[in-house]
Amino acid sequence: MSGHGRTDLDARAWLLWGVAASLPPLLGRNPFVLTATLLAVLGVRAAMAPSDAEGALAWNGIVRLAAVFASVGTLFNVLTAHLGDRPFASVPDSLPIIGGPLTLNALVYGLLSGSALLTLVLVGTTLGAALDWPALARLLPARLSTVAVAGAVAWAFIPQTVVALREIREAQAARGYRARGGRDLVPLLVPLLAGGLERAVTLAEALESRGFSSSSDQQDWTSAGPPWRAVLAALGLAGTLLGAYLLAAETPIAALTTIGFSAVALAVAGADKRNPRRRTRYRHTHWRQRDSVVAGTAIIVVAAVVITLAADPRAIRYDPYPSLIPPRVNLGLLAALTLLLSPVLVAPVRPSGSPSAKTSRSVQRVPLP
Amino acid sequence: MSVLGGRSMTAHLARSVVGLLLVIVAGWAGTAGMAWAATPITGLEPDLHHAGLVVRHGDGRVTYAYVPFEEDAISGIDLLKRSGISHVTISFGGLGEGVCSLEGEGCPAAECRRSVCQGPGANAPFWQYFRQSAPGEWRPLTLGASSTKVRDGDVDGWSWTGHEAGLPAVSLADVARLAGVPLNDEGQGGDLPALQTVYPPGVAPLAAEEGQGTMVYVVAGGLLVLIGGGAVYAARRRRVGEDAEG
Repeated sequence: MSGHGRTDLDARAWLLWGVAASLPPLLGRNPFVLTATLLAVLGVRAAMAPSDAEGALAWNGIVRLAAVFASVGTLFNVLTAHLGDRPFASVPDSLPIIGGPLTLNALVYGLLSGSALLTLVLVGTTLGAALDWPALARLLPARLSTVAVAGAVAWAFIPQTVVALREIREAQAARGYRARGGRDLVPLLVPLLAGGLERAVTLAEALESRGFSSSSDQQDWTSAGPPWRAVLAALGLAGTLLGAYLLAAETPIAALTTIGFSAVALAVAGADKRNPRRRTRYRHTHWRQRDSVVAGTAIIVVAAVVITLAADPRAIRYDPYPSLIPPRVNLGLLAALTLLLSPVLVAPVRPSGSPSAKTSRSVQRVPLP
Repeated sequence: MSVLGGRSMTAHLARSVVGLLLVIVAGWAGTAGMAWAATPITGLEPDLHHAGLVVRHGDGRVTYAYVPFEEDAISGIDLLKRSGISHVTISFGGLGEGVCSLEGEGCPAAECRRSVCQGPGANAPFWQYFRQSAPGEWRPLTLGASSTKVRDGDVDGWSWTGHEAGLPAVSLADVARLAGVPLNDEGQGGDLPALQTVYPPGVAPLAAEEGQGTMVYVVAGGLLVLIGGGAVYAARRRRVGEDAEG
């Protein structure tokens, strides 16, 4: 492993791209901004995500699930939000909750919210498929290694479960077994659960053997550094989660402030030179020019979104209630969003059949740091 | 035998259907007759009731609405909806509807669903609902506008505030006058709602926001096509690479 995943891009550059692509759907519902972000993410995903049967099935299942949730959400919004100046049908008022006028405004808002959800899931699945999690885990300070391991395990859980589910179903189908009702799910769920536990135990043993255990810290506090670093790390992680929530709650100033303080806390907590744990590595990561381009364009996109939110918020936020008015367009922001395609333009794509990609996939199955 | 049996059954079914239809028609006629009997024989229009609505914005402008209604009582939300004041409300299920924005002031529906537009500060403003019990005595109605009964002569108020109502002391006749409704000798207004906004000194009517030109949307569409083209290019590039490998 070179530290660059199947896409020859540094994990940090990918993370910055993920942040930049996630901001617009988190902050607003402007149709132009959402469409631009969705198209860019689809382009990057089409170029970078695995096309082999196993990887595609694992991540495409999640995307399909998100599409179903988005459709159900749109329908729910149309049936329950009786707002707006463009009614197109009516449900009798005698029916609870859904009774009332059905409006185009609610349909538009539901579609926009569904698009935002789909975009966020596509960003997550693209990162999940393209990001080199072991390289990312190695990049983090030793004190945060357990966090990286937990993140890697959590991120790999869903695709691994999807793949396992498919394998179990194929094995049962080969033996002539067909599920017909709810009771027939038991023979499916039991091996799925057992397989999940087995994978978790295998992963834990593999991590222990590679020095990712936290036992040394517990035995010797003096060698592990002062305990306030651990407290600072915990506060930094909690602050990051709080910042993400504030961002989703559309309070960007408070969110960015919280995330900034959390980043400082994590940096101070991670700058612990006295930690005895040293990991050897065969090949070190190299920050290349293409990584700088992707990271730089991602930072430009983030800056454009934040500046637009402060100076021209309606160019990011859009509310079709009470009147369905044309959304505001900020051409500068749209031009900046084209930069989200930068991974496609600067990173050479490894076809899924290439040897390096096969190596990456084999690591991806059991994401050992 | 079977043919005769079939005819007999068909005739039985026909008699049943005709009987059922007769019962339905008789029931409908009875209901209609009772409704007709309940109609006042005077043939006069039912008396109209009237209520007032005062909406105070954060910048101090106040909108007065004079609303007629036929029912003995309507809810506060119905009064608001019938007043003609532009509004956004969202449903909170059994709790009724919450007011998100009135005449453009308030918050988007998504934020409203989370906090009913109330910010984190102790005095953060949101749309508060009041009723005037005596001129100048506005008391908050905490049950919400969906659960409140508005009767003839009531004056309700909405204020974008975080603490005091700040609503003016007005009678229903004042509201009618300020809304531009001429009253008859009995002190009754017309059968149509009316509203008017009064601006305090230094506050001008909100200017309608100018829309963006067509060219802006054309360029925006071009940028979207550019990004879409990039996405297609990426997919094709990937496919060509895989074909070459294969």
